[in-house]
Amino acid sequence: MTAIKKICESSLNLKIISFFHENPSIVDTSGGIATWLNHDRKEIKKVLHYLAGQNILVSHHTGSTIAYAYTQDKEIIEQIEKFVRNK
Amino acid sequence: MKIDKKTYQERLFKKLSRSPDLKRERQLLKQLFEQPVFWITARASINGMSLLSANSLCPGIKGAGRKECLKCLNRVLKKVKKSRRPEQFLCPAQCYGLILPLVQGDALYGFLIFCHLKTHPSCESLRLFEALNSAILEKVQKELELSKLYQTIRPRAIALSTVHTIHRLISSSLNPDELLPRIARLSLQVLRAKRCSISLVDKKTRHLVSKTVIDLSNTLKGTRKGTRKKARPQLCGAMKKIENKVMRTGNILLKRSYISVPLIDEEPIGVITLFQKINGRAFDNFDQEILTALSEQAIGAIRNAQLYKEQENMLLGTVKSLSTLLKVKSGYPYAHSKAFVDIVLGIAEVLGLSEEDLRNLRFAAMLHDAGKIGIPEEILKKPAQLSGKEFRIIKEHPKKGAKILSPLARLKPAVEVILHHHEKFDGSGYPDRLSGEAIPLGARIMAVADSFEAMISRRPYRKSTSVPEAIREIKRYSGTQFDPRVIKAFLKLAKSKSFKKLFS
Repeated sequence: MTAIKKICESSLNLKIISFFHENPSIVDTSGGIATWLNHDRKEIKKVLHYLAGQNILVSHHTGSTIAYAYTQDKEIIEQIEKFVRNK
Repeated sequence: MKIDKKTYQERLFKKLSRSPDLKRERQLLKQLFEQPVFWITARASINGMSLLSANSLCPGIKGAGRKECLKCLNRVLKKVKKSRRPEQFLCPAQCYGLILPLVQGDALYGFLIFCHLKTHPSCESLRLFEALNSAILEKVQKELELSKLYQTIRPRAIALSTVHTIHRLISSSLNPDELLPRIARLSLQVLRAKRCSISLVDKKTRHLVSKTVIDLSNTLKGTRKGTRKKARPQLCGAMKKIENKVMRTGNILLKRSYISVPLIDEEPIGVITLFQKINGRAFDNFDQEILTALSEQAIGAIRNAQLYKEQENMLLGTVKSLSTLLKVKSGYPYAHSKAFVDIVLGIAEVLGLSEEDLRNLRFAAMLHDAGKIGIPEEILKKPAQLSGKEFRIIKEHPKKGAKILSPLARLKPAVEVILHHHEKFDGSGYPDRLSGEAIPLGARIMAVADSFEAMISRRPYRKSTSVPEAIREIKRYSGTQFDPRVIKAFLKLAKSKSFKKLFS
């Protein structure tokens, strides 16, 4: 996994990571996340896919629906917590 | 999140004391009364420390004078607390002062104290400040209400949206083997727990049977070795005890380290239990609310999957009965063996067909000769080669089969395969002389299996061909009678152990 610091260089990446970190129980589609963050859906979709590849998010697929949730990996959560706190 | 009156008043006072509007008011006072001393206090009495902290702003008041000043302020504060109206005063240092109550309705939130005023405030300015403070207080109050509302509603809105997404994720699955682990994983995700167990009631024994246990303990330690599907043995006993209790009472069990919710449709159908939060905190009422909502979604999905499975089993039973009837009608030497269905499905698997396509193909393979029911038995069981007329009658069986089975909507994909299983790749087959890709893939597969099985079967008028010879013969007709892609898959299957086992 790329270092959290590097991933969060993009403001949208940081915005999405922070959103999931603050709301770790959320399971939502790209459309839902775009609504919560008031941002363009296509851009959100791209970043969600990228963050799932980085194990920061977990994707749940079924048919045409893809939903994203926050990682349950303690180490990654701790790294993010540290980064968000120091920000 | 419910907060008591005292906490609310404290929060409001804190917010008020930091209000930019109040800062502006202070600036205004500075200009009007030349550097007054300004306090904002929540209490109706101030102590020596408060006055001491204001010393730098209140020059000239020292020692005994300070005590006198304090007495004077407390006296006026008491008066304001009682009257809830602004009061002016002249302090022992002969300076004018003013105390304004922070009142909204029945509630008194604090006081604004101004002293060391160089000029005497007029009644008009007092009324003006009173109105200004009331407006500031109202604004702060509304901001606080809004933030309280945001804090209460946002988590619920997010939770509601999550439940809706989960409904979408689980309602599309009709396979219980896939559905239950999915429900368990999603529940773990939402409740941020380490382990989830789902047990369902066995219809025959009426006992709870563990169906899925997802344990993320390894993943959570950062080893990322994936999930364990078996619970640790020492935990199994405790888990069973909890689930049985929930099942027996039909009540939710909420404890620090676990939460167990019964799955009740018209009657209890199972129990879902989650153990240990990732952050080590206790499960709370909000978790209970969310898991209850999730389990309501899960019940619907589980019941649908169970009903679908029951329907599938019923359909399979009907198809099996029909298939047996066909065997009896066709007579032993002409009936297809069990190996026929295995070859069809074997080729389909090599070609990578989906579960759904495989299921339809199984039905088609079992019933592909259903049309023979309408063919006279003397033709079907004729111990010699058929005449031209007899063969023309036999050639009607795909259409007859399709007609017999078409009223069964669930068999619609299989009917297409049955109708065309005698088409040839080069277009010389029957009933519609379809060619190439126009022939349904299932029918192209079945054509190969049908010919192969016919060759290796003994007929009263000819001997059976050996398996290697039949394979060579099938290969010879690739591209003419048969689809080359299907032949390639058939040859791959023919090399497999499972294929050899069929004819050993």
